[in-house]
Amino acid sequence: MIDFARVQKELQECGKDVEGSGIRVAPKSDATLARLVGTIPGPIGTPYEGGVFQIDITLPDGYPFEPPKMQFSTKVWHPNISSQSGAICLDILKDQWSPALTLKTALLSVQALLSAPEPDDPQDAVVAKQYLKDYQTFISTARYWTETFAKTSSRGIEEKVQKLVEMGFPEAQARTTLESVGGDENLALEKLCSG
Amino acid sequence: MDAFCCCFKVQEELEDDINNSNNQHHSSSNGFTDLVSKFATLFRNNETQHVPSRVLACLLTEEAKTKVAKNILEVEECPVCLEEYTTENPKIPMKCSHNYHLACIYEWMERSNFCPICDRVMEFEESLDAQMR
Repeated sequence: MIDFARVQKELQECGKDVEGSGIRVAPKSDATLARLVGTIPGPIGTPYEGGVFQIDITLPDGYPFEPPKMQFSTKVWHPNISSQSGAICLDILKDQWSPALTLKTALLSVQALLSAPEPDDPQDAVVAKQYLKDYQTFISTARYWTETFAKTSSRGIEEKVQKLVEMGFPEAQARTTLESVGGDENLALEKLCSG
Repeated sequence: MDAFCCCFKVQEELEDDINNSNNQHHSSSNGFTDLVSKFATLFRNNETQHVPSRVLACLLTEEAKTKVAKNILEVEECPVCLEEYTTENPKIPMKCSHNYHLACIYEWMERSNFCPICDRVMEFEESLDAQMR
């Protein structure tokens, strides 16, 4: 049985420090706390800089004694993240998990992984090979993917807000909901309809 | 400035209080300066328990206020469930010096022998171990 009281507390704590950490966690819908969306900013000084990456989180029944399942829903070019599925190869999400870790600290670890790839323990063999054999091409591919998939320009957000307003939702509510789900229109709509 | 205004508002209350606790000095009404010096004496003699808490709160510096607030807020919680320790569900110390609720750490021990925080092999404190036997 998931410890929902703890999840609730974690969400509150994480919410208090969004400006400091840049890390967000929000429920995917109001129906359950077992499925969440995490958002991490790409670390500065890496090809992921300027991007905002969304991570789908599913909590197993044994949470927090078992690790949360995390997978990138934003496409990302990184040796330890599958370019196809977004699966993440990170020890703390597997056998090195500890119940003293939280969703926020796990997401911070994922963010640290973006800064420090480990090509010798790859999730995506193609990316890892490129990282080791042709580093410059790796950097420019990773940067291109960030530009293409991880940047929701502010103009994009405005258009999405406008769309939701046209559907009849109040602008402020549409904007905050969009922000809470990291700019995903469909998730925002789902949330607005269920709320 | 806030503290100053606040002191004025509660001046009478404070005077009464000081007079009650310092019966030998009954010649009050010497004005605000006198009051402050009496107040300072109270502070020096560590007799601030006689000062109404409202007054004390006004006179504390911002830094001290933060410290007080932090002490109150820094209630220790179990790192596993993030809930506070209570008398019914107390803090269980491990040999490595980390603490958990008993039920929380037992549930983790079903899966691992290592402390969630320091990753050392977990053992209960001996005194506790003896108690439980």
